[in-house]
Amino acid sequence: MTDLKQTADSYPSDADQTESSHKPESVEGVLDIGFLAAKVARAWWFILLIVALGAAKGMWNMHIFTPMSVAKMIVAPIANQGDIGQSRASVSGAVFGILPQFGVTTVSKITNFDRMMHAFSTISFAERLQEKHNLIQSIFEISWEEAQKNTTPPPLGTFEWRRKIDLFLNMPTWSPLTMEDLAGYLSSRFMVADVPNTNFKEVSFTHEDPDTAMWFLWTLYSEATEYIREQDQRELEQHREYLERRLAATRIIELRQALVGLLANQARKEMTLQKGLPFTGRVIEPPYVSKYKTRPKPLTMVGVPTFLAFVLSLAAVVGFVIIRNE
Amino acid sequence: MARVPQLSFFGAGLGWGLVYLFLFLYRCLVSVLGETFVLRLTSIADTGTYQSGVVSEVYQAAAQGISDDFIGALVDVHGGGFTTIVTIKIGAIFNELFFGNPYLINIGFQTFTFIGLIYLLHSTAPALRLRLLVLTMLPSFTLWTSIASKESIVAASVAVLTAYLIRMYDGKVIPGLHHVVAAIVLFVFKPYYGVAFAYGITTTFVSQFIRRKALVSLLMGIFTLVGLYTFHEQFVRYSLVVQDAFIIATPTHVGGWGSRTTRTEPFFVEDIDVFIKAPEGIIRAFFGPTIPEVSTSVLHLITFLEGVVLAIALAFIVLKSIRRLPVYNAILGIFMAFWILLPSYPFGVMNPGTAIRYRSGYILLIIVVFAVLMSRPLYLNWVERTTRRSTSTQHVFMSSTRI
Repeated sequence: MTDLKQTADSYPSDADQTESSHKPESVEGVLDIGFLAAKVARAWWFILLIVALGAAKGMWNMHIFTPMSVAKMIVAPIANQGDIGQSRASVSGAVFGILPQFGVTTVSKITNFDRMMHAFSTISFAERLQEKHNLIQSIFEISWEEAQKNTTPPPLGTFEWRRKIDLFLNMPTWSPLTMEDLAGYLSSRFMVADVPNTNFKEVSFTHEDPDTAMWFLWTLYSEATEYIREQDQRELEQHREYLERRLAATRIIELRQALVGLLANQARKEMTLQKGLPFTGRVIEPPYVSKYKTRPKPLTMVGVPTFLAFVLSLAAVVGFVIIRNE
Repeated sequence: MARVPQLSFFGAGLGWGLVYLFLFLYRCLVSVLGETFVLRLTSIADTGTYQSGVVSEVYQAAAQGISDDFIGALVDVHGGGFTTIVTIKIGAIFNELFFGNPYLINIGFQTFTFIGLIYLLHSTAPALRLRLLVLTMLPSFTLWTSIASKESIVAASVAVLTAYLIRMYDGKVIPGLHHVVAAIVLFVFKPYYGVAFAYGITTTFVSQFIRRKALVSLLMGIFTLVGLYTFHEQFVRYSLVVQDAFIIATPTHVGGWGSRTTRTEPFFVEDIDVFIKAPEGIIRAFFGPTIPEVSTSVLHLITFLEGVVLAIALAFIVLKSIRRLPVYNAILGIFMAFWILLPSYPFGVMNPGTAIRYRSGYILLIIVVFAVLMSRPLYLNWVERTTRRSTSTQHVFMSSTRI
């Protein structure tokens, strides 16, 4: 408490707090805001110049921005039909309820459409596309064979120091082209958005060239659908083999009946996996290229550099005034 | 030695002891009103949990996790399991002491903040104390720190640490045990407050040895911004995690997370929004409800008006003395305010109620920065003291060399 009392006593009194009357003799030349503001105001031309440069840089960014064509289509995602383990009330559901005990697990909430969307970011799907369409060549303008050989970073010349800084800070630097880059490219260009007030999805692909955008959209959509379909076919085949093995080994009639029912169910599912039938989604609006290309965002491209230029120039002037006058 | 002034009430002197008693009674009254009326108007499940002092099944796993990996649980910024269980345990002690009476348990929690406030007020120059007292009596701050809540503990820690900061300008640089405890509590409950305090305390400490104080504060501030730039990806991820917690989160959580007033549109759409929308987000998190939301509830109206009054009061205090305000104080205040508002704002953009609740945690620092630290007499007094000290040290050195 004594400590508290001392603290309170050692502060200036009410009279001391009046700013005009109190100024300790030993304190001279306090740099205050009024003085700083006057000095900063005198450097208005410098701040204005830097802000103008920032704005010009922003406008140049907008100028060099490449508008992209957007190919779009509207799709109605299909609810998964007769998923394994989906209906627990049925006999098959009851039997498949024991599947996790045999190491077979299922997730019923994920739709085929979700799986298709996820496929775009997978390396295995990228490998499949590379094999079929040689996409690396057309996207990165280097063949896959050359890319595999090319393991040394290209010279950056004057920007070598930046790479050194990145290396020092453990930031990502140049790395050889891999399928992961292709998967990253595809997943970043292929977008899905909800169509307001409906359950439909708008899928789109952006590219500089409208025809290429269209080709990518449809090719990726149909390839991904096939990819998911083939995955399911393989999985169903494994399930059927398992069920057939169980059927051959089971002698209890009730269980055999249930297994036969499951096999029939499997056959029905296999039918839905036939090529040509919609599997991930029903196409509501066929692909088209929108006349509206992507456009630069003025707030981000001009506003941010302008604001940063203002802040930096102000900080520079304030710093200069402080160094000179404090 | 300056005399400690008394407050005058209709000509009669009023000692600060009486004022503190009044503050305690006022906070108790708000606590009782909060339990009787406000907690019926808005659902706050947390308070009931803390009052019961029972670690429910929901937190059992977290409790187990803490005993398994204590350090991991401590540094788990988003989990909140440890702080929740600590608060429940404190609630359990009060529950035992007060026979489960919710009013008394609330008063027990509010006592933490009250003690912190008394310490803060007593650390402040008498002339500025009244202004600080009035600002800390605002309804929402008083309400949230007067019921069984984490905010009561956080506000107490913030009060003790801000008091330490003020005391540093009075020459009391070496922290006491209570300051260290407050810093630890704050690190556990609100680690993201750390940058503001670290900046303020370090700058004040370093500046006392250097003549160019404004330059030091500016350089230290720029240094923190370099840190923000270096770790901007982590900050973006942290903000998105906080937002996701509101969008996905459990609807039963405190008047905010997933409650009916949670805004449905995500605030951060792209990563860069975390920085571009920061000014808007900070304003939202400070005021709570937006103007269209004000008409939806009486509580929203009151909290919004309170935010406006507080903003006007702080702006008035600063503008009144802006011309003669030392640049050092301005830079220190701006960076401290920035570093408390920036990491806090992602919690306040998705729900107006949560914004006000979380504001209760950091508002003391904002008030102290604008109403106490941004003061010319404080600076002059400090500079005089440090100059005198360095001169006397020089004098002693010179004398000893002559000998």
